[in-house]
Amino acid sequence: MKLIDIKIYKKTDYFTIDVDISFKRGILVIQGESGAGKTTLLDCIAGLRNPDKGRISIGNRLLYSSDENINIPVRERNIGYLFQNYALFPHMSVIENVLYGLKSRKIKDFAYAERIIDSFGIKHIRDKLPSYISGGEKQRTALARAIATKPSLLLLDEPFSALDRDTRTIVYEEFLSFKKNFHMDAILITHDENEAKLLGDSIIMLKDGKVVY
Amino acid sequence: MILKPVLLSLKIASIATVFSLIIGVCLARIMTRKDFPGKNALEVLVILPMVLPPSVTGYILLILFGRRGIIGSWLYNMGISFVFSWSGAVLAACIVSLPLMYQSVKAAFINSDPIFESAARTLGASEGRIFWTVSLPLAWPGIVSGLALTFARSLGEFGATLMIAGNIPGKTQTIPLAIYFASDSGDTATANILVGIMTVFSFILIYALNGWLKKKNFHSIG
Repeated sequence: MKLIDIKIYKKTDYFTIDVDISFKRGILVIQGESGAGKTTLLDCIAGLRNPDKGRISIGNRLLYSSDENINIPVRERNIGYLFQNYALFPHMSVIENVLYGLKSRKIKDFAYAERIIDSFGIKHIRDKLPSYISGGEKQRTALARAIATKPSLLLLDEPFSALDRDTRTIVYEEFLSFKKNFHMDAILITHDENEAKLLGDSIIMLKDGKVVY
Repeated sequence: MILKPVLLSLKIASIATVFSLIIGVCLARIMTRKDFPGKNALEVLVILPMVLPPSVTGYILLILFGRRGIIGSWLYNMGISFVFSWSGAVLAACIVSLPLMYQSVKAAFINSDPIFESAARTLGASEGRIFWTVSLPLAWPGIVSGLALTFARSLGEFGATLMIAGNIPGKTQTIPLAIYFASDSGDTATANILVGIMTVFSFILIYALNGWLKKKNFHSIG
């Protein structure tokens, strides 16, 4: 069983992140108010920003270690990232968005991508541009894109915050079934306590860059 | 008398636009990505022809690319000469219109949300793939307005072209030169027709571009 181990220390103008997290599998929810350093923490794990020091490993794969001077570049980390505003490529259709990661990694298994968009219920909008689909569909497309490359860890930055209350209740259930079907190990950040309890296998609370429980 | 300068102008402006496009996109990418000594000076150098009188730009080009010029003498030994040839007109048009291309593309790169490039990176894309599939398509409206402005400016280039390429009918005489010399020699009929062509063409170009940019929710020119 793989162990996900994250030690990060990073000073920013607004807060200092100093965390030591490890979890085995499933979904770890990091709960915290805005400004607690949640997105910066995810950016450090993904490799989009560099910590001042620390160590990140998934299973026996070391992704970052300040002591050993190891810093695997973002594109080789194989960590999926669902951005808060989804960051769907506006000039590409739903299917082109989902296939982007597979083509980037030269993976020819397009059938898998088709299967994902089918089970995510976005097949009927496969050729539409992101500006022509609903918020819920955008969210599912972004999730489909992030898991199409079978990442070893998925980072979800407030994935449901842009959805209205009714859509959210449906999406939670879907999300839990996707998690089971696609064996997702993920770190999900949210400021919503109910969401944390509903989706998390384990929950930690982040305040001013530090884990408080 | 009318067709030759029109065809020559179209040829020169098209080639100058292609060069401006390639150089402008590369420069804009480097300037928005990298920091290096002399960066600001290089940027001023690129933009300078926009504010300098074209005769000054033409004179500098003549010093650099003339047969006895710093670059020109070296090129002349290889059989390339910009002076009194249509390639000189291309060079002048390219240098004078490059600032327009550069600034349009640079603004487009700066205004694109960096999150799309970050997303592409997390999906395993190489920097080259990100450039061609994400950065460049997202900057497309800026590139198109750069293309239109560059082409229009190249078509209208007069001063620097006259300095380096001269006014040789059929060889280096573009529309603006033909207008000047037709007017100077009292041939108002030719001047009127060429002025009409030039004005109508530029009007249509900018009008079409603004319409297209509005559709794309992008800032129109002016």
